[in-house]
Amino acid sequence: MSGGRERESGSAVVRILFCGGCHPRIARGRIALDLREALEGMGCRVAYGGGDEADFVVFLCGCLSGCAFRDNPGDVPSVAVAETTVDFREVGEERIVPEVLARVETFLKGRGRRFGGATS
Amino acid sequence: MPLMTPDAYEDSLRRMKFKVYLMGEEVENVVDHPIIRPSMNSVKMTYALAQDPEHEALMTATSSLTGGTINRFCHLHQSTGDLVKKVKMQRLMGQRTAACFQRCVGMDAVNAVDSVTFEMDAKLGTDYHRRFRNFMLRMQEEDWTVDGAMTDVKGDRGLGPSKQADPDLFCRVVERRKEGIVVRGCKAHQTGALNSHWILVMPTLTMTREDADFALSFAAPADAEGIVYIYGRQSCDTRKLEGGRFDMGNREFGGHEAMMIFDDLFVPWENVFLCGEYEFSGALVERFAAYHRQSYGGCKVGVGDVLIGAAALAADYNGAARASHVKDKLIEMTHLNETLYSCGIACSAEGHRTASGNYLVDLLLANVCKQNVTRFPYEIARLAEDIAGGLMVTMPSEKDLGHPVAGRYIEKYLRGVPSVPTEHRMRILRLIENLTLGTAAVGYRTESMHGAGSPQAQRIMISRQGNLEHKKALAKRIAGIPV
Repeated sequence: MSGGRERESGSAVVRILFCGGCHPRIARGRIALDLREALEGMGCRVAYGGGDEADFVVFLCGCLSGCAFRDNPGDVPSVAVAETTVDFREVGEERIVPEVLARVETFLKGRGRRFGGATS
Repeated sequence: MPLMTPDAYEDSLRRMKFKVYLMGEEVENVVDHPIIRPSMNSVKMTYALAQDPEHEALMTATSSLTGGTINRFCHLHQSTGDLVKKVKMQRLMGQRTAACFQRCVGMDAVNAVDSVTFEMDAKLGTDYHRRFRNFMLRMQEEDWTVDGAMTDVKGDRGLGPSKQADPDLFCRVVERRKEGIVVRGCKAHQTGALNSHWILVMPTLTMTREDADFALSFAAPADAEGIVYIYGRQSCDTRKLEGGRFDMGNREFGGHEAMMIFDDLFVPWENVFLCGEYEFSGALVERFAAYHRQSYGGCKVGVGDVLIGAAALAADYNGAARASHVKDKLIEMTHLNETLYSCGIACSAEGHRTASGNYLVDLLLANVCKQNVTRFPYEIARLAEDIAGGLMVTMPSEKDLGHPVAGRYIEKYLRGVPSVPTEHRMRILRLIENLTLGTAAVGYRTESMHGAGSPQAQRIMISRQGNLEHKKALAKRIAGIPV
């Protein structure tokens, strides 16, 4: 994955990468929709699945096994959601979206400094 | 000294000053006592195999704390691959000892305490994880055997810890001092306690606010003043006192359990990892139990390998090996044993990272593993007894075999196929007896039932983890009912 195209257009691409969904203990689809709505409100473009284009990846796994991030080496900034944990810390299902958004915001702020430009 | 030699391990135990009672007498020399010694040999094997290039890939690991090579029994699992290797190591150890090798319980305890203390500190601002990591460093550097101690004697099962007629029936803090705490109580069934350098105590169940004094985890030297042991009897244990060669079935190896009594044991704060934070007691119990339920998917399978081999030899030795029903029974035993192994591997492969960085098994699959362990070894043992025949329990002693008159009759009439010495046939039958009815049945049968939690404990966890609502939604979707 790379962030080349988003730099040209100026909007960060956040890719949501699901696990296979064999035994989910959270509502992955609803969480993804909530994230998409919020991220687009922040000026990000949201992509799904395993494409190349991404500045930030949200790994969204239904159980603690974490297949999505286990099978994908992290060469792009990311956050790992597995069941009700975010980056391996228990937060509860209702806190997943705000916790992920907080990490994306932190990334965008850092990126703004790094590239010397606005993030949205 | 990241890897202690087997002899150094034995010497280290000789320097310890346990206070232990066995059959109404205080034991002066624990290491050489004929009833205790085989259990020490089993733990010693964990040190021996770690030095063996043929087995070091399973028996050793790279420390996440120092980067050095350590015994895997002292390791904080750093990947699902580590969890898988743990199970394989346990199978190997079971194969080499045909007994409980005791060191797993400490490995499982440290991995549970590591993640829970990290999460406790993050939430409460306590200092437990730093203390615990200091303990871990010493454990790894000194290659300690640590006895994880969880099960309280529990008194009236219908009452909680603080409601017992005698409050000491659950381990508790009786005094808090500036320098540390004073602990009183008793842990039951403590596997390998007298072969351990340190103990790591954990609460026995999820505590409530009113039971805060019982929410307790700490480490102490296993021979600390204030700890008293009373050794547990095992079926046929006095055969070890007869001085024979094979009537005990497994002369070299065994396991042991003991009552561990804290008679106002003082523990400095540096070795205290939970003291009153009752809301974290449940996670500690749940994680330790899960690791230990995973363990049984390795150790019992290794012992099962030996029992299956013994049953096959018994059939060879009496000429029944070609009978189709014998072949089928051996297939069934293998199927059951490998099913246990599959569960051990599965809960490991599906493990996950915790906030502290170590890896935890899949809770549902670990509990399914142990639930199967409460059943399958019994069936494997039944089939082994079936193949062995009644001679397993009616056979004369080895002393009769050595008698100038009786021995001639035994040699003549207990021979099976002509090519196999009568003594070999007797040795294999004694081994099967040992595993199914003798000292090793403690580990292979009843420990399979109650060790790491009795069957109902797993069923509660399976109920919690089973995700029934997801299954209902799947059924609705197929049946055309709105989800």
